[in-house]
Amino acid sequence: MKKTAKRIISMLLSLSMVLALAACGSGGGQPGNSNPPANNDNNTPSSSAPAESNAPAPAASGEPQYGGNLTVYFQEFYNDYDPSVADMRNYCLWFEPLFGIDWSREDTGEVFTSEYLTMEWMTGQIAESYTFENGDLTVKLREDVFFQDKEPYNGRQCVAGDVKWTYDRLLGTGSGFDTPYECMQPWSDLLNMVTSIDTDGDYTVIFHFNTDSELALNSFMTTQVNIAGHEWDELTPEQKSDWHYAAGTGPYILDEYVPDSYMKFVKNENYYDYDERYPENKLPYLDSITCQLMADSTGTQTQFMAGNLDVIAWGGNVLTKTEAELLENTMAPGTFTRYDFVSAPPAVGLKLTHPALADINVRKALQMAVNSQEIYQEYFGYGDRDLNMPGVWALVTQYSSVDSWSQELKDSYTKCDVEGAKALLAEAGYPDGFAFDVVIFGALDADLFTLVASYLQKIGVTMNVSVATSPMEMQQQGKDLSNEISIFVSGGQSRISAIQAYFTPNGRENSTNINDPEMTRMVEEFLSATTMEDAERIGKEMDEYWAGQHYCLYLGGAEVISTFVSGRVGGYSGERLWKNWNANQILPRIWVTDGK
Amino acid sequence: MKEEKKGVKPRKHSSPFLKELFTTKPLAGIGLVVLILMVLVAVLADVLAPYPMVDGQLQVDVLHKLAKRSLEHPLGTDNLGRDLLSYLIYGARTSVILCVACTILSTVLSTIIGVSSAVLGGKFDLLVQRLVDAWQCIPSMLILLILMVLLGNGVPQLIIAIAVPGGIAGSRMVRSAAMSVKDSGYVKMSDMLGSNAVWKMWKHVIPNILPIIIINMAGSLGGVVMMEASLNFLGYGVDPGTPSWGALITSTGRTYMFSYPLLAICPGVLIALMVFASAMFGDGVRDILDPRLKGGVGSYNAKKLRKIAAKMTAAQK
Amino acid sequence: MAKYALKRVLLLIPTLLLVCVIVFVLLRTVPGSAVDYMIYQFQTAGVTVDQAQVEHMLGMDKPAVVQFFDWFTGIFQGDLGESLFQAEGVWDIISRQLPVTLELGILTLLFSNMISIPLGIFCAARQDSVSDYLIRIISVLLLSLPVFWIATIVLVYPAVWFGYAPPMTYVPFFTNPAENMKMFLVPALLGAFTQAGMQLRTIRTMTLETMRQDYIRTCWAKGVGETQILFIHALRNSMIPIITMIGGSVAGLVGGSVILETMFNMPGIGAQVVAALDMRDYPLVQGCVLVFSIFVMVVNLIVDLTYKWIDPRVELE
Repeated sequence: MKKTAKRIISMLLSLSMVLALAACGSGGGQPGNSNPPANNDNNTPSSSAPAESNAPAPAASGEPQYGGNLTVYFQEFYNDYDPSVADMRNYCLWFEPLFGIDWSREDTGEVFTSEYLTMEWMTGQIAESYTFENGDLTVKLREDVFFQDKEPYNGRQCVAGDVKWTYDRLLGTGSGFDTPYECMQPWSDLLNMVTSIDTDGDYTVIFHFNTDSELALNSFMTTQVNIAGHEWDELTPEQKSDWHYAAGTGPYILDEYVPDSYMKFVKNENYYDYDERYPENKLPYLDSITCQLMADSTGTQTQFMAGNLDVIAWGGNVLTKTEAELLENTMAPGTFTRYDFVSAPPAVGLKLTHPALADINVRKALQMAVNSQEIYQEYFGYGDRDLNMPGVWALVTQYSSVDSWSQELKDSYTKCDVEGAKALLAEAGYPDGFAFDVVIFGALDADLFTLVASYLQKIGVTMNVSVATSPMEMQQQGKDLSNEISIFVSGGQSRISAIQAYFTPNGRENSTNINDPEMTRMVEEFLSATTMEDAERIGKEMDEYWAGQHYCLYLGGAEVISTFVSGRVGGYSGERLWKNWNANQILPRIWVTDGK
Repeated sequence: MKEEKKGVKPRKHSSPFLKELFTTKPLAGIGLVVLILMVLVAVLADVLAPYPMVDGQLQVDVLHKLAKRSLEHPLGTDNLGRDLLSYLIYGARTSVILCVACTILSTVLSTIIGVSSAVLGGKFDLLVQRLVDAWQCIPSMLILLILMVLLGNGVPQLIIAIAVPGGIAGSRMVRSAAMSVKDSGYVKMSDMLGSNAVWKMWKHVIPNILPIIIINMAGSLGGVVMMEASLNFLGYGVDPGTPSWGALITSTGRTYMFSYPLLAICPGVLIALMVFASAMFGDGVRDILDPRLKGGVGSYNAKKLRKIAAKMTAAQK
Repeated sequence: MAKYALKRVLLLIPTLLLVCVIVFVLLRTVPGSAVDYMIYQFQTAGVTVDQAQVEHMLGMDKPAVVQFFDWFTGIFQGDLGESLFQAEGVWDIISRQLPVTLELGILTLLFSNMISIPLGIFCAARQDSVSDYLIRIISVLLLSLPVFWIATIVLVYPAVWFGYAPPMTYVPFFTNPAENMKMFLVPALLGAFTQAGMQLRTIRTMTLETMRQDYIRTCWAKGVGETQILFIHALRNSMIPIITMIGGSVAGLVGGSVILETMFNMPGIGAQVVAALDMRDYPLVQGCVLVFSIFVMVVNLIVDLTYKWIDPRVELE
């Protein structure tokens, strides 16, 4: 009895000693390397929009190859297989839209960083060509598109009737549908330019628009709708929730779904498309794709290190700088490629119901007090690089660029001037400062806010930060115009949301809580523009006006975030892979070099 | 003829509690000392910390973030440049406040529920017991999570979230102790003399179940710190500005675990220390106060028996 | 005995009702609702949706009381409702994930008892000796270290040093025991260490209590060997408190499973609950809590009935 006890004790002791040694020993004091190391030359930031992103090389490794399996991960699956499901459920690799992205444009780099698609970047997917005249969009379809050889379509050809059926169902414009399909996406608003649809034979579809504005065409083409066929509605509700009936015209077939575990896709042998970059190569390259379900980031990192996952920071999840460094220092060179991006920069959306914040001089003073340069260089770790602009695409839409801004406007965001800020505050009537409340939510970098609060304290302004337990709680606070609480906003939300509000079913909704008549006027003008040039011109004006009003307090640059891709993967550009939009178009164009 | 028989001495409560604690259970004594030290550090934080708080916030100094140990910063700095040592000292304050508040609150709660339920009896007892039963069926972690989502993050919320379920759960033991006391002679006498319920509870029942209550209290100290750390891991816990060991481990410490291990090791060690000290102290308290461990003629084991046997054979010779 | 058993089973129903009420009320008072979460999800993807539409789709436009009764009556028909965000019934999801959590729980229980019972008895037998102190210190150490911290170390270091990571995919035990154990062994051991730390001290105390009894003294006097005394006489009489402890630890397993399942990517209910709570997926959270609670109730019932069977003298309430 004694002996066994002794043995157990000594085992436990040695185990704890090993653990303790390990915790202290390894990794002790790596000098904080604040420059994101460039693994390939593509990481040098460019100074024009889109800021700080690499000019991507089309292929990280060599020539295209066929075969093999790619393993990626998702944090959650919504097993909703309806064609009306939007792009955000981006594992719907079995569907395809009419128009897709022109991947031969990869080298321009723009395609991959903008959140918006424009007509210029689109090319035909199921559609082959189109003409637009007098408000009628005539689309000529490819004649070699077939549905996957799986229930419920069983490999039959995709024809004009299917396209018409798909759109009719969403919009309630025919084919037995007289009301728009009830689902989460407001399709009837996104596609409100379409009044009716006709077909002419098996390969021609005519969309009748209610306007001949170029903008409408742009919206239509860039809105990705999954093309399906009438068999879908003939299924029972149980079948519609059953993955055995999820099929489309896309490059990958959903072959296996183990709930809570993974989804497996296999190559669609009857796929029609070829690689625009290598016109003789029929797509897709990979034999199969496995989408693993993994929620914990430590788990995904360890699996990547062990070689079981091919992409880290997929679908908008990110690695912090330290995690990226750990991965980089651990893995053998050549086994991975690293891409660094600028994330959506954080900002505080100032609530104008607060008397002090309603004064533009006060807002300017706040921005002047924040030492963006220091945050950018020290906190986010850009080292001694100069702050170009705080995450350009947060302040501008696709219509404008920071380059056209006046130096004064640019300076107002980058220069830190504590004395000037104090003077401005005093002028505005707050020589002793004031206090205001900000709500952020738990997943965000609370430390950054603590830092900014310390900057504001220097001019006498107290920013009280509290943490909501969920993003929606925070949003509620923000929308509630009866309080004076400002909330965290970032990237897309701080932009001119008035334009986004275009798509709200309830009409224009000012989700930025700004009651600005000048802004409203410009938005009206924007919405009634009929040509792309007009839209760009007004868009530019709006962007600059918005920035000049300092409605958001920018917190200095944005975090360097990284995505890692296994060294054996080729044929992609890191940024689009990270965002994982249009996965059904990227993934067929990717290959692996070891055929596994 | 009374011989001093070693190992057979019945334990008596003749010596004062503290003295007994330190002499017979040195580990528990150490535990108590550590706890008192923590309290002192917490109270004197402003004096002890090399970089005391200004306006309720620790000073940030981003230019010197993640610094190594040096003369200015004996333990280095965290990712915002806050001095780690000061952070840990103020963290002690948060931990102590949490422990003290939670323990007191939950003890008071469990005493009130348990004793009133036992003494008042009847329908009231039945109802309360059913509720406590149902409550205890729900796993505590889930209740904790739900409460934290309900209340939001922050120290007062944490106190309520941890103390209330603890109090309800502990009421069971208090109630059973109170039940056994309730039927004893002097309480029945008190009844006959016409005392009301509150008097009975306060004067008779509670003083007699005091050991159980104290044991409960001492035992639950350590769990509070652990629970706070676990909650921080799942995303609920204290406000960002409040220094806390649990928050440090789960956020910054975890991220920088390999490059700046001190950030994770120091709070971890401190949490372990506090839990350890409370556990040892609780053990000692229970060993001394628990009536079930008293009386009889002491416990034997083989070693003691051999010694006694040896003595006896030696004495016979 | 049979009558008692029947009575207890019937008593489960009102307890169940109370549990349901508590859970339902708690959840609905939580700020931020499923509707908002849904809206937020879409906003992040750049799509604005209509609140009324969403409410109707989620079935949230009926008054709360109606929703409660719908749910409660549904339980007896085996219908726990539909998850708000996953296109599946709650029971389908739970029944799929329950075996994982169960297996983790059983393994943890097994390992922890295998460690703590022998060691606990040993410590009691060698009270206050050096080994006793050492083991107690280690056990408190085990329960003082945060589980997620150790789990992170255990996960990350092998990956960093050897490029090894545990399997990502769950394989049921009966399909492939070896693969299954590869996934479960480490988390079960981690959970077991923490549990063992807590249980060991309790077992030690209970054994000490038992060792004080007169009949044990008689055994010594009769010359019965130490091993026999410990494992036959003392253990049998400590069985009841030990079983209580095991029964009580079941509820605590949930807490451990929440953290371990998340970190080791095991598709169990623990991880599900946290995710569902984040999303305010009410039916799913309610279902999970309910299943756990029923489980705890059943275990308690079995424990109580086992008392009676082991020791007929025991008076049960």
